[in-house]
Amino acid sequence: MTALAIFHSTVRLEEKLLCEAARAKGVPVALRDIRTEVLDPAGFVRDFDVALERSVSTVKGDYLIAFLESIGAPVVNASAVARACEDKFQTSLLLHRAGVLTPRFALAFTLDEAREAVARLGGFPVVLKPPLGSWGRLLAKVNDEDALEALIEHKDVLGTPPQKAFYFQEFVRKPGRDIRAFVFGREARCAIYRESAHWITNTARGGAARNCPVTPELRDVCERTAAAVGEGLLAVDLFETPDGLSVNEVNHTMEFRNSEGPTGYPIAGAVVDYCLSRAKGEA
Amino acid sequence: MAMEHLEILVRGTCPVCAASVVPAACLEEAELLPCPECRSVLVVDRVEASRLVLSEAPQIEEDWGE
Repeated sequence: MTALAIFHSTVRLEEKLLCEAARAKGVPVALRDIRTEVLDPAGFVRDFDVALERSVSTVKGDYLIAFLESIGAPVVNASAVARACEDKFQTSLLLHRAGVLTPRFALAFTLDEAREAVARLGGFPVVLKPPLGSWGRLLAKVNDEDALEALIEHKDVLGTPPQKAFYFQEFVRKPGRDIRAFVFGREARCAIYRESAHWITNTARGGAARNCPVTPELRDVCERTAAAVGEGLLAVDLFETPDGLSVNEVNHTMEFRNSEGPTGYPIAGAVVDYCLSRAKGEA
Repeated sequence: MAMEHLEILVRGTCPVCAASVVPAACLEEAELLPCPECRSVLVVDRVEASRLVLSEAPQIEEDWGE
C-alpha cells in the first residue's frame, strides 16, 4: 500500500520535488500517469491512502478528481476547489460574493457587449483573459477600441468555444510586482513577490521571485479567499492596491520551483504533510 | 500503473534528429528533456533494456497550467 499517489501528466520539476520530499520523510510514494489510467469504478484497485492531483491538463485532472471522490478516495484538491479555481470567472464570482477585494470584472460574448463591459469597468485599458488558462498565456492588455475589435474578431474566428467567452478585468497598476501566497488549508505559510518590468509578472514568463513577508493582512485575505473557494493547497495571486490587497486569481495545482529558495519554506514537504493529514481526516 | 524512479545509466535517441540523448540527472517517466543537438523537447516514454524510449513532447494545450 502506497501512502501517497501523485497523479500527473507531463512530469514537471514540482512533481520530482514532491517525490524527493516524500522519500526524505520515509513516505511511500508513487508517481502515476493519468494518461495510463482507466477510470472504471468497477475495476479500479485503490492501493494508496491519499491522492494528490498534479495534472498539467486541467480537463484530465478534473476527471481524475471526480472519479476518486466517487469511489471514496481522499484526493487533494477537492473537486469543488478545482472548479472554483480553474475558471477565472467562477473564481471572481466567488470572491466577489464573499466580499474579498478583487479587481472589477465582467464577462461578455459579443463585440457590442464587450464594449459595454469595458465601459462599465471604467474604460481602457482593460485586461482580456481566457477564463481557462494559466502561465500568463493569451492575456491581452487592451488599450483602445481598435485593439478590442481586433482581439474579439480573432477569438471569434480562430478561438475554441471557451475562448469565445470574453472575460475582462480592470487593469490594475502594480508597483512592478505582485504577490503569490502559498496557502495550506486556510493558512498562508509563505509568499513571494513576483517582480517584472512587464505588466505580466508570472515567473513562468520570466518574473523574478523574492521573499514576501506573510503580514497579518496577507494572512487574513488568504484565509477569506480559502473560505470563498474552498480549503486546500492554493496559490493565491494578489495585487497591492491603495484599497488593500486585491486577489487576482487562485491556482489549485501550484507551481513552486522558484519559491522554496527565496522563502526558505519547504513547500514540497509541506504539501506531502498536508496530503497525509487529509488521509487521516485531520485537515 | 505506478511509474518507477529511473536510474540513468541509459541513453536514448532523439526521434527528430537521431542524436544520442544522455540525461544529465535522475529522471522519471513522463519527464521532459531537451535534445542536445536539435533542441526539440522530448518526453521519456519508458525504459526498455537500459535504453530510453523518447518521443516528441506534446505541445502546450489550451487547458494546461497550474
